[in-house]
Amino acid sequence: MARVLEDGDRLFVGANLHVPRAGALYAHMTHAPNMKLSVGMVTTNLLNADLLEPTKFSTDYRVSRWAESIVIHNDIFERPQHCSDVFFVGGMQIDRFGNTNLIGIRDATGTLAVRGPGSLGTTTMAHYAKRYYIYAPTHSRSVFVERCDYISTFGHGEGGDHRARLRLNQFNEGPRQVITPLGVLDFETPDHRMRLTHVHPGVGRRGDRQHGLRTRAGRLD
Amino acid sequence: MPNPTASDAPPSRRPVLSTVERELDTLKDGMTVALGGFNTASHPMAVVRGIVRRGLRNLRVVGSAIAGLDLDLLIGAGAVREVVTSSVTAEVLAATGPFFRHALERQQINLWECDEGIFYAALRAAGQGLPFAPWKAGIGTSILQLNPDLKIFPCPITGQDLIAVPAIVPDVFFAHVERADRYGLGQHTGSGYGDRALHRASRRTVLTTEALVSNEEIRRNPMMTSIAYADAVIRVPWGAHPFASPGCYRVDEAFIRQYVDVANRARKGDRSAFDAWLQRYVHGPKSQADYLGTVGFDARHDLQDVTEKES
Repeated sequence: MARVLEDGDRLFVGANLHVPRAGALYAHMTHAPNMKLSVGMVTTNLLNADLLEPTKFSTDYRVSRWAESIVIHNDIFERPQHCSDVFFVGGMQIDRFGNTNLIGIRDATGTLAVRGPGSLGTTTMAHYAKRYYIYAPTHSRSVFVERCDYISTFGHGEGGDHRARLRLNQFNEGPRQVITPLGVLDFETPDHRMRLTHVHPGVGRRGDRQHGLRTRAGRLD
Repeated sequence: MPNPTASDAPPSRRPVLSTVERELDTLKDGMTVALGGFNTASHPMAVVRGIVRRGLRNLRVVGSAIAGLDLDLLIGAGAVREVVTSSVTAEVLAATGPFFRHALERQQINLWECDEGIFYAALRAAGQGLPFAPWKAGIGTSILQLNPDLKIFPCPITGQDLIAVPAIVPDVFFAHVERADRYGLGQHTGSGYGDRALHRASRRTVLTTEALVSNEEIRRNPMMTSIAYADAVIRVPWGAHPFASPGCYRVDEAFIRQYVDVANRARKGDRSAFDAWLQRYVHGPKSQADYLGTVGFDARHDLQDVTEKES
């Protein structure tokens, strides 16, 4: 994840996404010394921080020891582009066109069976970020589905030019990549169907099939 | 010309000091009540427990943009008809509030489905006295199907589809601040999260405050005044417990874990532990001091350590 972050990026490190946070800090400490981080309602540059002990709660006020400015939460939505150039979106479900679902899972009759965490800020931030990525902490058939039961963040909709028709391309042209523990997928196909572009070192093809990687995401290029 | 009805006494400024009980007296079943704070911090918990104690019903509760288990408790106690928020969570302690999840899965409450951007659009419209505010993010998502109040309309300038987010005007907004004076001037330590937006949207704002300070103390740093001229101020030390109050105390993890445990047991059908919890922490204590005695000094002593860890 650190690789997709560039020097100078603004980046909001959200609550409860520990791997993206680690990726952000790794990038910041190596190739992105000018990263503008928002952590726990403050903006900061942690290059000279004496300690990088992650806080358990996004509300831990002790991060203010590094604060360069205070983030008033409702102000974020007055100009969301100032909050984050890059955004990572999670999902209980991710479909082949990069739509994601944090709302819930339906049962066979179509009614809500499991309520999820909800959209949080993902619907808006994925719209305004210059680049947005989908992050899947587990790579499984239950996450990678044909169609999401609900859509909380619009990827490519039904595919093709669906985003353009809804005029959703003002700030970005949809999710760049899906990053999972097994590999990386993108949407650089004619109809924006997800395809596998990279398998992490040490991940075997048999394991990939077991996890639904080939059947759901297409063939290895 | 002097006012003929005025007494000979020099004019004096009117304080807005109040009590939790007096403010609870103003609430009625069915009202729209907003609660400040964010996620695991700064919820006005003395008021939340009071709402449960009074047995209020059918409230439309506007949580913060990301609400905490303050809302979950109100749902578990049966006080809520509808909630307005993007999420009810306690981060690592509970990704989704147990009662919130249970009530939605059984269609016992309505959720005004939104994300944070749509949530603030509704408050912005309210603050500006407009019927709606336009918003783009959310087009193409299920949020529009799940929330029939959100309407798609063609933009008169560009022709593109936009969302009309209707104004949400809370009857009363309760927030918790770290300092306030008797004239309704409140100061947050830290960002104050979305409390300013809720204050602007609401008909009436009531502050609970960790410390009641002098007007001189407020004027030492007027830039810090985040809520100017609240309608009422109530001194409630430890008023956000078990959630954090920035710079004063941290999240009471053990207490929240206990709540999540009894709420999860209630969700699975055994409500006895939750009822005992309600009796101990909500119905039993006669005052905030009584509540804090029940929570215990040792726990609070530890939570007051808000210094950075040693490097």
